[in-house]
Amino acid sequence: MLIKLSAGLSNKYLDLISRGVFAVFGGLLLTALITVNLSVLLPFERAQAVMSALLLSFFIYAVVAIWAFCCVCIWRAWLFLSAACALTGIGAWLF
Amino acid sequence: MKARSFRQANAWLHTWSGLLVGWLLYAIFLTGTLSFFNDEISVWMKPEQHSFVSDQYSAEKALSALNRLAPDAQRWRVTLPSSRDNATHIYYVASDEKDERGAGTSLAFNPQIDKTLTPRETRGGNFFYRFHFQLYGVPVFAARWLVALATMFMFVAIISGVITHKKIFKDFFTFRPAKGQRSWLDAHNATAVLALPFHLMITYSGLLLLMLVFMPYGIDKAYDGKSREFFNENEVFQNRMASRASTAEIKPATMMPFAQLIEDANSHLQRPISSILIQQPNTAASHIEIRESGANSIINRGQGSRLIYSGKGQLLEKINAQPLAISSAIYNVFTSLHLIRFADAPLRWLFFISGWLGTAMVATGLILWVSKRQNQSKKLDKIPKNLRVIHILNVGTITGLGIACVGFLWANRLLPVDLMQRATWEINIFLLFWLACFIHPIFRNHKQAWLDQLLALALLCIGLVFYNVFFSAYHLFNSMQAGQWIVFSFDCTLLIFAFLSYWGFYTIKNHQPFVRKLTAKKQARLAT
Repeated sequence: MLIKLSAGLSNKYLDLISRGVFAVFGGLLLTALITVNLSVLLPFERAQAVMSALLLSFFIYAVVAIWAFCCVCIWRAWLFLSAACALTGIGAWLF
Repeated sequence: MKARSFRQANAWLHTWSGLLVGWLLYAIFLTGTLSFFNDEISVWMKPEQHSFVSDQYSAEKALSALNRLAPDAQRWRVTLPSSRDNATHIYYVASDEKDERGAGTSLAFNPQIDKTLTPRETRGGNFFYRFHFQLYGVPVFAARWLVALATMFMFVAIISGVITHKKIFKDFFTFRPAKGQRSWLDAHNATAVLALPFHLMITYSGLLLLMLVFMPYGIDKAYDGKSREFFNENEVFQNRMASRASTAEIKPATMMPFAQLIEDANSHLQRPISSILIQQPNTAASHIEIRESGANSIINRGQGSRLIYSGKGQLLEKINAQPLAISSAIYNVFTSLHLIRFADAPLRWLFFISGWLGTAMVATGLILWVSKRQNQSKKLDKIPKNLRVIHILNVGTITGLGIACVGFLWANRLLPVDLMQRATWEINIFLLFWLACFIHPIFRNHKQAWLDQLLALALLCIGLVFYNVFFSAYHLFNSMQAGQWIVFSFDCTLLIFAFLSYWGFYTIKNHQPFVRKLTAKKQARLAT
């Protein structure tokens, strides 16, 4: 189904815009959620956990941005991103 | 979409993300590089204080001057001369003034004749410093967020650029001059790889310095929205808070003699005093903080020791560098390297040069983008509209910003000293120069636009050096004898920029477009 979907949307510009939005805003959202989780979950003192999460956050963002442009099918990447955001979102809400 | 290899995808990402934020990054890199000499630029822009000479009594004389000017002030501060600034500065917040950001009176103090002086109103090097992370005329939060995003692009561009480079070290030793597009690629690679550790450090630390704007969510969550507590809890930020005396008891009281205070402080410190802060002077609640110049370690943001005295002259506390948790230490090391408040002249120059390599890296990247498409458009025999727009933006940004910066320095010298809102006018002239540099290339062809602006830049730089010779007390030919090293180095740097711009002008003027020479073998094959 995914392959069909990607074939239907294989417009060059749509693909490019999708990747850009994925990298900038998807990346920001996922990074923020992971940072929130790490800030609470890392087994250090509170101030140190927050600082460590912040130090890591920019690497996470960079990896998501590179992923956006390297994955073969951006629509499948969106699916993974949504799942990751949902998971970390639940985490951020729970803890 | 076609499947691409990992490396190809990175090359593609590198090219387009680079173009999208290239102009903004160029402006950040250039003004940021100038900010390494923030204080020195400010000194040069206040020629009134060039002749100031300090002696060992500067500190007590400055305190006495404050005592005469504002004996009942809420706060005094004395900043003593250093290798980066030859003047003593005094500052006070008057008793009836509301104590808030931007309040108070700043004066330059000449210890030799025991007089204060108000230098010409200018933002000095601080303009470039502020511009490099919050631009100008844009709401501060939006501007910082935008700069953080551009920095993030840079971070991604560096990582993807390294991945793109299969032969990173081989490429570094390859330079093929006068080969058109290949040469620009080699120049881009060389400037990128030569200072790669610097670029990575400056980009990552730039992100750390803007992290509260860009990534405040972790703090908000862990502290339930009370982010103030994070700053109180984390030792990294504690030193930044200026200690405030209690306002409970403000009965007048005599303070210990200043000379005695300075002598005692010097006996406890290894290096000279850099600044003295007195809260509630001349009261029973007086609280004196004396800071040492130089750094114990960059793990502590390059700060020296601090001494806390009571008004009566009792040493209450000596604050030394504290041991830090690892994450705070990492944060401090990176941000200290970015701010380099601790560095002496040699390291500062090394950073300055590295910063220029970064600026050149962004510039060559932008030119490379055009050069690549130029070859394709030659086949079409006309320049497509979008390529033309990028031509104009490239010229207006790359040489235009240089011209605007020198225009800012010219405004500093030429505007009347007593002009209302003088500092704002200096900035307006900076903006006007820059705007003109975007309009000018619209009416010239691409090559001619580069030539005009490079020549203008060279003339503006060398003109400023000569202007100083005739109209300033200290200039290229007498500042060295007088020991005014800041003024001397500044004028020399202007000469170097003038030379480089003229060299660029000369090279482009005599440039013949590169034509691929056919090898004998190929010629033979074509002939048959």
